[in-house]
Amino acid sequence: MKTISVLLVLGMLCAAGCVRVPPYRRELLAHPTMLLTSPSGPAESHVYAIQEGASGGGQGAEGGCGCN
Amino acid sequence: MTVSLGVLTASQDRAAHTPSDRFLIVVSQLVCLLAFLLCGSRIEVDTVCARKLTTSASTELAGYTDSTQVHVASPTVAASVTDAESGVSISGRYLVDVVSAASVDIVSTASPRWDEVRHVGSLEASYQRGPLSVSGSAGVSREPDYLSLSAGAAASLDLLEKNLTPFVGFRYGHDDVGVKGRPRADWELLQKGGLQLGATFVVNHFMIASVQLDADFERGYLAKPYRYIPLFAPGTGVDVSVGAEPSEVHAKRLPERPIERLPSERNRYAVTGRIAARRGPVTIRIDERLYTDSWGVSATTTDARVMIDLGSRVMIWPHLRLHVQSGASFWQRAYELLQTETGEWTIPRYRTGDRELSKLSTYTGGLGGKFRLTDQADSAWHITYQLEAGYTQFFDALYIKSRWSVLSVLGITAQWN
Repeated sequence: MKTISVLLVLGMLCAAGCVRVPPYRRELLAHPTMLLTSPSGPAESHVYAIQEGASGGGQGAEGGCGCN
Repeated sequence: MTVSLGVLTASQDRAAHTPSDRFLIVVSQLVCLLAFLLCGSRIEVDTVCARKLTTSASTELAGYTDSTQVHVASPTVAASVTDAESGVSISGRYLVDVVSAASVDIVSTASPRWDEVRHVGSLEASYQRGPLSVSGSAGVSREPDYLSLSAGAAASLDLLEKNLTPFVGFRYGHDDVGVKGRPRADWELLQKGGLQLGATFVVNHFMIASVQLDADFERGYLAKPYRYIPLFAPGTGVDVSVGAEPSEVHAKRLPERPIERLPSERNRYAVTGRIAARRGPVTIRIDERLYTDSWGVSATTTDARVMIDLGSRVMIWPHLRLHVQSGASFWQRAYELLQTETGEWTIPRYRTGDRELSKLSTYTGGLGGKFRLTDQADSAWHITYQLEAGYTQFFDALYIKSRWSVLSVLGITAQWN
């Protein structure tokens, strides 16, 4: 796990260091669909949280499940 | 950070206050924090009034139903105010879940059909100054037999002309787990802490990616207080088939029916990679999450969406999701009595009927659409609709082999500049 994490971070830094896209070439990157936040709405996220035994990858803080 | 300290204070005072008092204390602390944030940026906000604010409000109605007779209706309202010039943004959300459940495993191992209402409220404030962004969030979720308070903070930093943005986040949750009809003093405590670390980076002029590490630590009561586990005589558990009907289980089980018991600690780790690429009117988005935890559950989750602009007003997105997981180390389809070294019979230390801790796979597919209703430059109204169908296969559970589910979400969003 630790090795994979280190490799991922190193790869990411290399990728970012090798390619620099100037602001005037970011028209496509600025499109709203290119936001890398979770695309799932609250209801959809909640369904996954209940149906899957895994967690992580989301943002923010929320508790409770309605499934006690 | 202030929010977390506030919640911790409430936790330390637990013995001196009733759960209702603690709830009020934490809510008042959250209000104070919000007031503090607003006061802290008062000068900015006063100036902002003369500037252009972006205000948005949305409402969403979600309906969920599945083949195990679980039905949920969930309306949500949300609002946000953003001032791009000062970098201040504040948002809030309120959601209600109305749940009706009569799942065969719930009825067989826990309580009869039940109906419940869950209220969820959350607030978030963020501030951006130069390359640095900070945000804080707080949430409350309340059911008749469950109270969850949570808070989090996050920060990100734009580097290399915004080609690389590392971020870090913390979250804390304080849950009181109860049983209807029992006094609040008897409720159990569950505490959750989480750390999030990652970075977003530009791959090229049409592709962006991110890597995120999540570590979540849960301590306290992690079982379901309504769930009772059928026990079987030694050597007979293997005779109980996968997806066995309640009549078969009742015919083969012993009279004892202990309550569910799980370890009081769970450490969960996830690595999530995301990639988004845009060509012409199409954005392809792929997320992959690898997960493992201290209970022995390992999982992979792949989520893919293709967002297609159909003209300037309409966007649609076909969606696919695949989740595959192994079972927890202590998971057994049929728990048998165990014999100790002294020859006495005992029940397994950990036992669960939570089928989400068993080996399973879930396939989800759906289609969403977003339609812009107005053409004005200073305001935009959107209507969105999403329909998702899911199929879950349980490989080693009692009562159930598979489940179909349908989620339908209708939303309206209005935004003013």
